[in-house]
Amino acid sequence: MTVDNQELSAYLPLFIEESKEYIQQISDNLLRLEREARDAEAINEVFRAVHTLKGMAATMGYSEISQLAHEAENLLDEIRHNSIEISPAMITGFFHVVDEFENQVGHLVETGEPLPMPRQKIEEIRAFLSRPVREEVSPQEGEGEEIEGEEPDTPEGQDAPAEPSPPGAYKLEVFFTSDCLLPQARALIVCNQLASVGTLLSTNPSQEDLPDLAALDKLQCWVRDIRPDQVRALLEGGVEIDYYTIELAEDEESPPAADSPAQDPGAEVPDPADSRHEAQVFRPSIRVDTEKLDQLLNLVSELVINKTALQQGAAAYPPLTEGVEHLHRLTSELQSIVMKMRMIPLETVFNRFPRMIRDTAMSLNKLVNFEIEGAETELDRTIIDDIADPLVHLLRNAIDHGIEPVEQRLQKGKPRTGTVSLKAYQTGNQVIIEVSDDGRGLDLGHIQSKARELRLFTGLEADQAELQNLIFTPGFSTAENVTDLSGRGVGLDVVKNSIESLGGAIEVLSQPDAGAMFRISLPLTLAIIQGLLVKCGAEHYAVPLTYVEETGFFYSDEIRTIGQQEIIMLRGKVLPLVFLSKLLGAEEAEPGELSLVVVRYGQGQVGIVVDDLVAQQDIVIKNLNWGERFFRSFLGCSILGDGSVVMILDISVILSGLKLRGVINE
Amino acid sequence: MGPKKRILVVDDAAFMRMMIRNILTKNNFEVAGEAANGEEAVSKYIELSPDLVTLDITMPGMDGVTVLKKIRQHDPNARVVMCSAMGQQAMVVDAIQNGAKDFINKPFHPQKVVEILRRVLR
Repeated sequence: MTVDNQELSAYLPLFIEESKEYIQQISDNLLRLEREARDAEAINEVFRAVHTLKGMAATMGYSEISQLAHEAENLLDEIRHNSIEISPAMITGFFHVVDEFENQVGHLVETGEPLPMPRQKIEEIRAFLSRPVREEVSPQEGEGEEIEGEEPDTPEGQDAPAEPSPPGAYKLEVFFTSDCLLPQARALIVCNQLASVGTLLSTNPSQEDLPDLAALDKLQCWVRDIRPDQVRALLEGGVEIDYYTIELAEDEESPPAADSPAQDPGAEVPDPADSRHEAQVFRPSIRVDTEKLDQLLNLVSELVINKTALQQGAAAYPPLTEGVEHLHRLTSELQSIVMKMRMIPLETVFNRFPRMIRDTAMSLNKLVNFEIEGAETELDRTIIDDIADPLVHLLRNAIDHGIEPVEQRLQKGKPRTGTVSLKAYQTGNQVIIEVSDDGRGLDLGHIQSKARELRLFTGLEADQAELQNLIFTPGFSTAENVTDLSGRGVGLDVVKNSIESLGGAIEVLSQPDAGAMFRISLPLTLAIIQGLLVKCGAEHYAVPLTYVEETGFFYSDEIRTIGQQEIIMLRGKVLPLVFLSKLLGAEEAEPGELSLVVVRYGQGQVGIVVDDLVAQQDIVIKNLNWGERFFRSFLGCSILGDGSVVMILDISVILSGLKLRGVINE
Repeated sequence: MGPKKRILVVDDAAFMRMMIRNILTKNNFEVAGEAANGEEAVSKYIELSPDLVTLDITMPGMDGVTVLKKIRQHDPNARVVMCSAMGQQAMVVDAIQNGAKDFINKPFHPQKVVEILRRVLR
């Protein structure tokens, strides 16, 4: 059954989104299998994902994708049922399929149509998938020919338990199709069938509980005295059975006793095999259009603003106090929940990296071990969307420039395999992401000579940290060989810019021959920022605190001029000045004591002269979508507790309009 | 292919019997007989010893589950597939616990019916 055209377009977004998730799952588990070929759970995961993808694609009428999935599923099935150890060649074959899935989905995203796939291509993939099995299975499995008569699998497919498992005890999981009308009855039929051939030790949910369950999507059974092929014959293509898994029951995994107290329908039987693979807990969730979340946040911030006004009113009318206090607590809670709803784990970005690392390392002929830590760390969705590209850049650099070729590593007495790690964690209001490698580190000598060449500093020797951070300067690339992947000189400055545009910062720490670490710090969210309120003319403005290095006062007679540029000397250093009043066309303050906000700009600092410093506070950013040029100087606006509107200055835009560079660098 | 499997069709509604008969004959089964109520079903089973019975759960007089029990008293190996409409979960479960091999849902999907019968007959 396929859906008709009109429905199709309605399902497409969900199809694309879910397909991506399944493709990711396949990819992740293939990588798991690459590390541990006997990981039965990973094979099952791949199988499940491929199977689901096949069904989804078939429903949408995308025969290209479903055929492809079908071919992959066939091989996976063979691997699963015959306990074939998956070989590197097979994994590569599956990765080809993953690539093809990605192509297809990519094409769907762009055109709404699947990519036509010539029969020949499918044949190629079929050949590719079937070849490795034939080559590798037959020699390995002596009795591979007569699958039907095979003995129960030996436990070597598992992680070698200390004592051998009792032979022939299997754990089955049977999943019913979503359109199955009476899964409880189906489950009972499965139980009856199993019991008619072998010994049914136990089930979860128990047979007594089954009839009364409201819903059921899978049945776990522990059976004995039955061969896997008999189980297969019973369950294969079973009515309303979506799929099933068979594995040897673990030694210590005794099935729940028949007389054990009735279990919650949702409760999992403790399963040591799962805990090995970081059992995932799935909570029910729903998908929400992100635009709705944005609207919700907007409404909540309006509410907060109004609450503040009420609080001021309540001060004058005591009977209201208690109610307003309660309102205050409720709104803050609401606000924090809405903020949390916008947060998604970095996992969504990190997930795609293992595959990329693998491919990059292979193409550069390097051995790389990739570690991810803290993928569960959450960040605002808007930041997550933009952080992927910079990270890809840094990771590729780490492999290309950081990790040495194997011979060099051995000469240096390092392990053959280099390590690249990606680590994320939260500290206070910031999330830190560190990309590090144990490679050669930054070449300071090289950076120094390059810096001289570009006249980035003169005379005084820069200290090591300053020197290292020069690599973020535009046009600065010390790569001697331009490879496919990196070293074109378009590089770290772009990374730095994208991170700064997210309100974050990046720095590098490096030790020669011990490796380099790029540390990115990002604000938790872009929707609420810490701002410094300043006064200019009659208006208040907010400066994002992430840019602010310090604030201070000075007298107008301290101002000097170099060329056309007004500066002051701040602790012996030249600080170029920008008058906000001139920028915004506000009326100029009287000479005398002036307020100064020192902001970071590129490698240097700029002093923004304002009339007064007002306060530091959390501000909710509201976007300005007016598109007029003037408003580009602003990140957005915010409404303060008293209902007044402040504009938030976009420091990087304001400063990029000025020719300050010469001053900053000299 | 072996000899055609002989099926006894039990349903109080002539329309439903006709539906099932059509599905069965088109798919190479033989309808050995039909019964319109429980008593008739039990006596026809004894008389015909069919390979399989499709048995409606809700019938006036003797209901499907009772018929099932009687048939299995006579022949513990009887293959009985229940026919049920939506909302009869408890009875379906009851029937399966009493030895029904499988069940088919109304409205009938010919393919599914055939698939289920073939599996039960294997």
